[in-house]
Amino acid sequence: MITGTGLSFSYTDHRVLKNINFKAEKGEFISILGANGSGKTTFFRCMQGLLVPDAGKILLDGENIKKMSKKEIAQKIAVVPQESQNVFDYQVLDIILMGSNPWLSFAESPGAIELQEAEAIMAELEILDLKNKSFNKISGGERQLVLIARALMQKSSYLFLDEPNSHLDFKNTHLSLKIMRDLTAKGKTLITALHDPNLAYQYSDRVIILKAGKIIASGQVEEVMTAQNLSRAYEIEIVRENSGFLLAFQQDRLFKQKA
Amino acid sequence: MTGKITAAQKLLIMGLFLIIFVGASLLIGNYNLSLTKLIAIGRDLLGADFRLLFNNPDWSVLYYIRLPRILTVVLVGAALSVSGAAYQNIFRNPLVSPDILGVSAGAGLGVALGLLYSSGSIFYVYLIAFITGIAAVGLTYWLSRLAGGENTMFMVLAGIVVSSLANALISLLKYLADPMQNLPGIVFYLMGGFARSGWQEFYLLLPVVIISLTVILFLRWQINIFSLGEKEAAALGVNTDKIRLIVIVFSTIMVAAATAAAGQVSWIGLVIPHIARFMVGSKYKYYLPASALMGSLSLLLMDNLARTVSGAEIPISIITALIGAPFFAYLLITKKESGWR
Repeated sequence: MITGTGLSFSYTDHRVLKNINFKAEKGEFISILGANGSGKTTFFRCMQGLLVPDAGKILLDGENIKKMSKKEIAQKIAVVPQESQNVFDYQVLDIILMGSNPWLSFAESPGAIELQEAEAIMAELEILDLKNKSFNKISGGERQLVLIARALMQKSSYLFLDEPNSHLDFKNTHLSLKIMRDLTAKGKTLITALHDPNLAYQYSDRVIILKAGKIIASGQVEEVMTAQNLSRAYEIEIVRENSGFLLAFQQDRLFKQKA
Repeated sequence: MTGKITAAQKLLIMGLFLIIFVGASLLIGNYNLSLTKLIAIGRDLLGADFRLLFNNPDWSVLYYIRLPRILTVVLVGAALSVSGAAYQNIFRNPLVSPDILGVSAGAGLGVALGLLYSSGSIFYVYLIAFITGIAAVGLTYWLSRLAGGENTMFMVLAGIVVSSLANALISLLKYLADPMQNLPGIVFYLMGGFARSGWQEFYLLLPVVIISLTVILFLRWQINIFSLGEKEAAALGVNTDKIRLIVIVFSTIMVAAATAAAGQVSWIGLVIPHIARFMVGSKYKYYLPASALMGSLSLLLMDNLARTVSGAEIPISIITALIGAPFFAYLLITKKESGWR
């Protein structure tokens, strides 16, 4: 279990997080929603131990994250960054092997055991054919899968994904979310920051809505994801349609077409 | 992958080339030292009466002049190239090198200071060069963080600032130096060259280069991860502060030692890592040895040019710039995917 109690964080001039309380249990899929600048990324960085909050405490399986080394944190928390190209290109296999780093000693490089693990993970995600390709030259969807594979290589119980589908097309967005969903069945805890409320609605168990650094709603999908809460979060009128949410003006257009 | 040369095989070929080059370089120079003379020396060396050699001018040229010089060139080439490769990964910036980060100019300032004020002890020259070199890279890093965070361009610009400052201070020292006694020494020292390289220089350089190379090679896996960016590396469990400090310190020691031994040798640290990456890829396990070998090979080639093209020696930095700068331009134009944009 990972918990954050009373978290606050400020950059020099303004407070970004205000008294955040957060809890994630084994096997949960939690989505963080909020407008741009609502504090999602800062919240993520605090939970990963990359930023130290001004106030509050984060416990990772009962241990204070402040007292853990980067390596110890990385053994429990894996981060899937927004898919991007690297300055220096590596083979896909090497990128995935980098996930084994938290379990290696200081000057150690991955060996035969890690190679086997990496291949097993690649087979599971059906990306074994990418093994020797260059990471910068594969497609965005493939890169996302490689980064998920690297996170699995870390053997950590918690996966943080910051806008995992920001560079993905419709198909790859849903394929990668399905893979993440399947991971929760294997006991992984997923915490994602998402831009699209409909994706959060479709895939997550619990949702947290942030606005200006505060939690304005938190709980099970059905109870939290109301048109009212979302309208408040994004400061625009949002309506509920059968299977998801629309901005009010989108609805108008649909009506026009029907007429 | 059939029919393709693996990275390990490429390293082997580079190593063989280096050995052949070292051998060939022994024969090159104004004093005629032919292969037959070399064989004769070898025979005497193995023979019962090797003392005969002490009176043989061939032996003197080989043992006291060419061999230490060539071995020093090999070390300096490897040191500059590997430090360039290390800086590039740590700063996640393919445009940086000892010259661009201001380390070369900083170490050059130290060399000038050392020559002027340390009663000529070579050890102090090394020490002061290291201190000013570290100060220069620290200043560059700090300035670029102040100006623009991790942006690659800011680091290059900050390096220009620091280099200019260091070079201005070098000019000031030159201006203040006694034009008869000290000035020519400083000028020729900094222009670079291996004419004065003897065993003393070699033995001062050897442990520095071996220890630094070993440390960097040991950390190769974490340096690989570092190049993904600091946040990503930290999330993968890399102790980024520690790794950055270790790699910068040992790279800078190498640059300072190389500058103290051979003056400001430019371009090697920028161009050679790119060639090495182009040949064996980014993976440090191969990339680092390839940088070292290619650095040694190319600097040896250039030093051979420096001492044979004309009757008098041409300073090495002139040769490295004349070859390195156009070659870098060529890389910029043709290798568009190597991380520059």
